[in-house]
Amino acid sequence: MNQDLALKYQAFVDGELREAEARHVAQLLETDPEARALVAELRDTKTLLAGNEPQLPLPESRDFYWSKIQRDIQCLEAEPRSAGGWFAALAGWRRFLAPLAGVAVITFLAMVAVRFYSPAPVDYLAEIENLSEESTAYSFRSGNMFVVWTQDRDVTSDDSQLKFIDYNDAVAQ
Amino acid sequence: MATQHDNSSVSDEKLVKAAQRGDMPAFEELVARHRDKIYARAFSMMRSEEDAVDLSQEAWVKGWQRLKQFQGDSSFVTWMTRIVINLCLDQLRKQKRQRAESIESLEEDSGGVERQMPVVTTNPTAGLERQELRQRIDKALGQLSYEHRTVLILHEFEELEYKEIAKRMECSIGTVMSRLFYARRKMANLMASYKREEMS
Amino acid sequence: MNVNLWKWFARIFVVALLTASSALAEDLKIEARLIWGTNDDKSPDPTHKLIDAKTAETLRKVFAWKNYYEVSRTNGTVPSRGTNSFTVSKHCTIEIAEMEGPKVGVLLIGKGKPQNRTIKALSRGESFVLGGDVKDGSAWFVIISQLDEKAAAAVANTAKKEDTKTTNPPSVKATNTASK
Repeated sequence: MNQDLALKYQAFVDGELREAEARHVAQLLETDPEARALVAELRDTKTLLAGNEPQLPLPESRDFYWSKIQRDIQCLEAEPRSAGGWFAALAGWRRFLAPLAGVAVITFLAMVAVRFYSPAPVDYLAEIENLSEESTAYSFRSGNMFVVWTQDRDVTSDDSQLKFIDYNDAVAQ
Repeated sequence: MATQHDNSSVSDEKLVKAAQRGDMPAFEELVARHRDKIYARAFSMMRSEEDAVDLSQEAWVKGWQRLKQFQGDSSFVTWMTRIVINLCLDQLRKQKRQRAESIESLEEDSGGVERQMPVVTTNPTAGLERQELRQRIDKALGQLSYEHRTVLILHEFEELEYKEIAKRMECSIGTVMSRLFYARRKMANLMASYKREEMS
Repeated sequence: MNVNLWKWFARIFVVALLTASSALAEDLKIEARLIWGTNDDKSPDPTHKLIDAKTAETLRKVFAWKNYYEVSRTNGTVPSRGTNSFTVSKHCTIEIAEMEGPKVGVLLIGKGKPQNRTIKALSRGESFVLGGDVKDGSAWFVIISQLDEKAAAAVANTAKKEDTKTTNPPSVKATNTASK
């Protein structure tokens, strides 16, 4: 059974399929005992978990726990608010706004320049990590194409060269 | 002002309305009633007592701040669990950025490992007391990666749909489905293995 | 200072901050095409079509196969600082993560097992190609491209017209059901 079909059975169990698709899956189940076993397991797990969420007592006394919450609430409510709201509160910061705005504009322009106009050498850097003992991967660049080639570890190096047209030229571009 | 003793027999609905008017003892009663559930949800997700206590506490403070926004569309405790879940998800995302992904979690995410797990056909929880069952479920949850545990909690305990889970976890519906599938299969196999250990 | 002048600076400051922050992180519109490279003159599967001449020419410059057929095309969005899975075939899934940089992490999953992972910058106009041998002497390629807004909109319109899902997971309902 492939992964897509298995996920479809799961969606069927969860009531997430459209009606037509659900009917189709129900028909498939009638003729596939392996699928029926999988659906039964998924349903059993679902039933097992429903209503059986672990219940763990909070490891602090009622008073202590509440005292911390109350303290945090009181701290939040005690923060001074100036009359006239946030706009008036900005009054003290007016003298910094012009230079700050200037810095922000310069930063923004610099970011635009770096992002769009720099040669972006970082684009050529890549990290590749092999995650399988059965295969290996290597990369190369050709023109506007960056290639990661995966091959089985039992393939000889000669074989790997034959598939590329002038491999060295491809790498050198 | 209502005393702690007076509030113990008052319904959640009335306590919420009182708290919305600024009645702190009413809110304290709500905290006392539902603190274990909120803590348990945080612990299920974070698997750390300290984090769960901190986040549940933060959730209550946020609950107080946002109380006026609570319209009664859901129960108060459901509303609070959504707050604590969002806080846990934010914290988990922060922790993920700091944590290197292990090969194991990559293999879990790949969706291939669960194909090697045999389908569990017997009921591994038959004969268990509810308390014991919950303990085993808690133990099994602890053995999942945080992504798989989270998707399982959001789907099975929070009863969110795939689409909503994808939004909360900032991933695709396909990824949610793969993770949920793996998590359920792993859960079934873990529960079966605990049963085998018990019998041997 | 003149009140109007500092109000004007305040507005510029906010706009510059918002634009700068949005430049740092964005959703990626991705297209993944599974291509089969072969020296056979036609594919045994009639649904496979020869790829466009431009892409074929690009591949021929590097690879030795004569003909390239498109097996599947998958489109999707990788959310900012998130991941998305693209199932290009029953044996092959690509998980793409949008990372700080901006970079992408591309995890190749073959036959259910992670094979390799590449982290690099993904630029518009550059193709990221994963490839490997098939035992019969042919090859598979997955061409991952970042779509611009226009191309992404065109794809979305096509998908709407055909009323099909653009990623491979089974089609799911948009609303809750009573059966839950």
